[in-house]
Amino acid sequence: MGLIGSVRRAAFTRPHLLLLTAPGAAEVRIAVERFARRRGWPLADSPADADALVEAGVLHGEMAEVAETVWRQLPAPSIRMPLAVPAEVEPGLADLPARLASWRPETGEEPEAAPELSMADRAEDRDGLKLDVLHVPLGPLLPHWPEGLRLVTRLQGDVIQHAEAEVLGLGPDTRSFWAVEDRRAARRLDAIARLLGVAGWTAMQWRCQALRDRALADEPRDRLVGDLKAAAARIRRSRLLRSELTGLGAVAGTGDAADRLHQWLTEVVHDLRAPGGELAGSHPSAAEWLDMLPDTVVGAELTAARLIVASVDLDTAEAEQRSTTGVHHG
Amino acid sequence: MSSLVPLLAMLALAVGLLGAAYGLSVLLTVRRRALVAGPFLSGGLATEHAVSRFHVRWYPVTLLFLAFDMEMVFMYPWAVVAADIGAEAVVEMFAFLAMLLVGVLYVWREGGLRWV
Repeated sequence: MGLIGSVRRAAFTRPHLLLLTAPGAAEVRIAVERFARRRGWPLADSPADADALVEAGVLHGEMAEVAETVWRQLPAPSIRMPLAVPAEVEPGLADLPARLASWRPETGEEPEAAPELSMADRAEDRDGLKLDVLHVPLGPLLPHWPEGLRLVTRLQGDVIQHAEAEVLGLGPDTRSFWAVEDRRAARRLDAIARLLGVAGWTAMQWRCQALRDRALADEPRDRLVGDLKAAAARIRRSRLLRSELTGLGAVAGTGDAADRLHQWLTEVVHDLRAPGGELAGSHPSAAEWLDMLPDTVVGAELTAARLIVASVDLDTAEAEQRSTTGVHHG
Repeated sequence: MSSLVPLLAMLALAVGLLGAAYGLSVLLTVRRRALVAGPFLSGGLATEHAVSRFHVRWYPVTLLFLAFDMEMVFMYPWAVVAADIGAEAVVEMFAFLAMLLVGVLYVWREGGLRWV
């Protein structure tokens, strides 16, 4: 047992975390991200890669069902870890390697058989290929995705033909973490990090997350502004990023994804220099974004749709319980 | 008899390695039964099977590919002996290629190579 035990301990020195965040629980998510970044623990993209399902915040209604579904997809050994408040993050996660190493299967657990699924039907599509119509939900458990957002899409090939947006898991006690005025810079940095994460610029994503955490920690602003300007200049200079984002998700008032990113960069620097004050430019509310999002992603390819959603600073905790629909016109 | 020794050694090695892999898996596994899980749809459930039917347009392309694939299979042994046999082999191979090309022209005329 000594050998097996040490192999297992070695395997779980850096557990892979699958993070499911409730709307409004951004503070817990940020604490988990910071912990994972410091220890070098990877955040898993899917249950197959995960050692632990971390539930940030209190999961209400359909979010609880999502957690249940995903939990059943985690391969053993696995641990489910609800973290309701930020204070629970450090002690809870610090225990994780030991708990995984000593994990034992519970008796009487029988895997369920997968349900029989019918084949998809075909329909007319853009390229005249009559591809299968697949109903694919995007979210709520996706990396770099707004908390609790679910985009139910109808896909043919990788083109979205129809989309519906809804916010899951809004409870009576759901409050937006970002509603406080002096967290606005941190919120934009969070959005920038998310967009860079989807775009694949991981190093810069981490840099922005570190800046976000420093902004939340009330560090002296002078040094922060200097580092921030350097990062912003790097992001602005990247031609690859610009060509990736230009023309994506154009919405009247805010421009396309590249415009929104540049707007955020300007705001963050401005906000940290002089907190508060009015924002230039148009900032649709969460409800307005939920209205516009389905129409914006329809006709886009799956990868483009991921970038479009990440280019929208949508605070799902501000939304009322509702769903919206977008249909492909022409 | 001695000619069988390498064969038996290879067999022993294969069985040994396979046995080691299975043995290691039994030693290290935490749950014998494999996990039965649906596809990961970011927390949702699949509503239809992912096996999809393709438009009939793809099939001529497949057949066309197969024709040229088989041609390559013929050309490898041909290339080995072409120099010894001489002009006769070259003429035969080009006649064969010409016949294949007729197929391509036919598919072209029927519009099988038109994409959209």
